[in-house]
Amino acid sequence: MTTGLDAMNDALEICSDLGFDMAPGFATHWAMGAETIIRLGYPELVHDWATRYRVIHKHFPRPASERPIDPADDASWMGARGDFSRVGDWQAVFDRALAEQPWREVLATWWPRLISGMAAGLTHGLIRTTHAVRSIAVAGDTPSALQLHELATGLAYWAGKYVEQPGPASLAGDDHLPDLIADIPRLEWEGGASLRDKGSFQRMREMPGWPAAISRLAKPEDISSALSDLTLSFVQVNLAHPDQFPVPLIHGVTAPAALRLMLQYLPEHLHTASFLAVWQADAALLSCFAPPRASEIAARPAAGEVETLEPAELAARAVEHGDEHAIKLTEACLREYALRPDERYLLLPERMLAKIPRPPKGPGH
Amino acid sequence: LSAGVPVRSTGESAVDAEAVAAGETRLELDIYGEMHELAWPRDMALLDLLQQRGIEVAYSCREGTCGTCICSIERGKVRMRQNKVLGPGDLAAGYVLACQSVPDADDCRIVF
Repeated sequence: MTTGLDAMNDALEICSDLGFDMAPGFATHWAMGAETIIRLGYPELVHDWATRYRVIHKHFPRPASERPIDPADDASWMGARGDFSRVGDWQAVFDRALAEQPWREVLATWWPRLISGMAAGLTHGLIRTTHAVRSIAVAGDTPSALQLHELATGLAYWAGKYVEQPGPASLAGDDHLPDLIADIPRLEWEGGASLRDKGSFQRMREMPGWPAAISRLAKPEDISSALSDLTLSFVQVNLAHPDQFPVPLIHGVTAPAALRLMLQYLPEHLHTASFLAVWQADAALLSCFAPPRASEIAARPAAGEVETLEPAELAARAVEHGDEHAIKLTEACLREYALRPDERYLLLPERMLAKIPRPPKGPGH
Repeated sequence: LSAGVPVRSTGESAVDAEAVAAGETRLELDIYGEMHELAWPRDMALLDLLQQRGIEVAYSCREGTCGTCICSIERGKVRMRQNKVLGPGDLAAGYVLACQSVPDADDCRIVF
C-alpha cells in the first residue's frame, strides 16, 4: 500500500527539477496537486498524475543562484524581495535556512516579511508553502531533504513574486462579510485585469474608495470564524460569476483555506496580521477578476433547494477529473464545509468540475 | 490528410505527403512527443482542429488569457485572434496559444 508520505516523496523525485513557473509565467502546480490528491485519499494515483503533469506543461528552467542574498542584512533581502529574476538566489536562502534551523523557526522569521505580498503570483507563494508544510507535518521530526527543498521553493516563489499589496495596516471598521464584498471597487473591467501586472496593485491603491473600502472590515474576534466568512463569501462570488473563466477567482477560496492550515504553525501574534493580509489579497482578486454584479452576495440556499454530492463522491470525482485547480478547490471546500456545513461549499467544486476542462491523458493514450 | 493518428513517437515526421486542399495548411505536430500530420483549415483555431480530430492537449480558458494551451511554432507562421497573456519575449521565443492561433503560412510545425 502506498502511504501518503511515500507518494509525496515520489512526486518530489519526479518533478523537483522543474522550474517555478510554467510558460508563460504562471505557478507550476505539481507539488500542490500531488499533496492534495494524497489528502483526498488517493496516494496511489500520485505517481501517474505527477508523471503526466511534467509532460503536458511547459516549464521554465530553474535559475541558479548568482547573487547571494544576505538574510541578516535588511538592505540585501529587501532589495531582492519582489525581484523574480533572483528567485534562484531566494531558493538558496531558504535551502540554507532550512538546513540550519527548524522549519517552524524559518517560517516565523520570514512570514512577517512576506505576508503583505500574499496576493502576488495569484497567492501561490502562500499556497505552495502551505502544501509543503502540510506534507512536512506528516513526516514529523524527519522530513526528507526533498520535502524541505519543496518548502524552500514555496518560500522562494513567494519572495520572488512579492508585490506589496494595497490596503490598510490594520482593520478598524464595523463591516462584516459577505456584505462588504459588494462595496469593493473593481478595476475598470475590460475582460479582466491581471495580478501578473504590478500596475494592477498600483491602480487599486490609487482608485478612489479602494483602500477605504478594504479598511471597513471589522477586526475579527475569532480568526477561524472570520476565515469561514471569507471562504464562504468567495464561494458565493464564484457561484455568482458562472460566465467567467473561473481559475483566478477560485484562489479567493483556496488562499484563505490555505492560511487556515498555516495558523497552527505560526506564532499567535501573527494570526491577525495574516488574516488582514489574506483579506487584502482576496479583495485584490475580486477587484481584478470579478466585474460588479448585484447577485454576488446571496443568502444560503434553503434546505432542499440545491442537491449536492456527498463529500467522498466529490473528492473521487475531483481526483478522477485530474485538473489541479479542480482538485485544490475541492479539497479546500471540503475542509471548509467540515467546519461550516453550508451546501455552497459542495456546490462550487461540483460546478467547477463541469466547467474546467480535463487535462489530456498524455502520451500513449 | 488523414486524421490525427500518431505516426512516430520521436524524431522528425516522415509521413507520406498527402494532398492539402486549397485553403489549408500542412501542419506537422509534436504532441508531447507523438508526431501527427494534419491539414489545417485557414479559418480554424488550432485547438478546435485538435479537438475535432480527437487529439488531447492541455487547455483551459479558450479566451487567450490563461496560457494553458501554450505551444511553440517551429516552422511557418500563425496569427492569434486574441492574446492577453503572451508578452513580446514569449512571442519572440515562438510561443503561441493554440486556442487563438489560425494558420498564416502553407506549412507549419508546432510543438506541445
